Amino acid sequence: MTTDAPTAARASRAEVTGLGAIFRDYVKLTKPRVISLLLVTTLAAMFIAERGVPDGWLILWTMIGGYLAAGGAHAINHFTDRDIDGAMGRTDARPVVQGRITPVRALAFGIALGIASALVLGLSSNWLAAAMGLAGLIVYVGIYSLWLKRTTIHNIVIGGAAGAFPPLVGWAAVAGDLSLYAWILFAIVFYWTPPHFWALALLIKDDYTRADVPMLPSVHGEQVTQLQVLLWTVAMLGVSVLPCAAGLAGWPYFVAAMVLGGIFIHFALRLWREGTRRMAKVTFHYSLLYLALLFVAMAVDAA
Amino acid sequence: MESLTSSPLRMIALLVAAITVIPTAFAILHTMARLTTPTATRRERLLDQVWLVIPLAVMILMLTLVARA
Repeated sequence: MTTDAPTAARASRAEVTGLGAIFRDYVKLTKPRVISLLLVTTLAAMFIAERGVPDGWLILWTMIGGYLAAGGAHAINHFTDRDIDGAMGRTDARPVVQGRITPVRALAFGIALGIASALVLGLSSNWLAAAMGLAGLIVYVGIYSLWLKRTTIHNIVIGGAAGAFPPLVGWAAVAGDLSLYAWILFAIVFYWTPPHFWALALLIKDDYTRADVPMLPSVHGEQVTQLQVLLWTVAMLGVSVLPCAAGLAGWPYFVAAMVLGGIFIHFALRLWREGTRRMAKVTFHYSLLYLALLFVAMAVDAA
Repeated sequence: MESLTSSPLRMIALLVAAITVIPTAFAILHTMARLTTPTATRRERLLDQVWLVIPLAVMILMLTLVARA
């Protein structure tokens, strides 16, 4: 039996499209959009630790290792949260929920990425950076996803520590240790997480209620959450100027931190006063920009 | 590194941090201590208080460490 040329071409195209779709699903498991912000904090921490421009290869391998660590954590999260994800509009199209990737494969993929991250970071920079990458993964999966997310309204406060590890990875990769400044960077991301995440939670409160996840707005309402967004934003501004208080950053960073933080407080205040969905959206989107710009300002100040 | 007393930037930044962090930490403690997770057991309610206090205590501790640096 022979196959005519157009049929063979169509079959080949379908195979390529199929492979492409599978590849895209596995990339989706890593949540690349979330990781891009985490990598900004890693990269900035590298510039700050170096007090200049670090070696290009070190940057490249640290970024790859950082991506693998965070991607591994996210892929495992697709496995652990598959029951919750199915009940939420924001996540019900995820590959595991839709059955395009089996839960076990997502778990295996996540573990493989985690191991790969440790090897990449350990061999390209040092094992402290590798340990920080793995610590972030373990906190995200073990403490946040499996434990606190389903049991307490403080889930994202403590779980926020997971997202604060990327600057430690970057710092350790360059300096080989973790100084006070590195821990201040950790603290900035840690205290940024509650107002950032609660602003998002206000937007998808019903999703969390449906999934029975005790997020602050779905348990105690919007007004309580709006007040907490404001309070934690004010506290975060105080933490963001600690590099200057410690004598580790200069006036340019101080001005940037005050202006960026002031805008954040302005939005949080409006969210608390107006209580609108629009302001929750504005506050959430600004929080993303805020963290990126704050770390860029720190890196520029240090360079 | 310049000492705290000889650096206006360090002093101003520390003041800003203290003014924002300390009262806010107490405000967070005051407003959130009453909030619990409805389905929580007694042990989980106790843990709720621990989860609330730890980040606030660490924030004050960091402020102290930075002031002494």
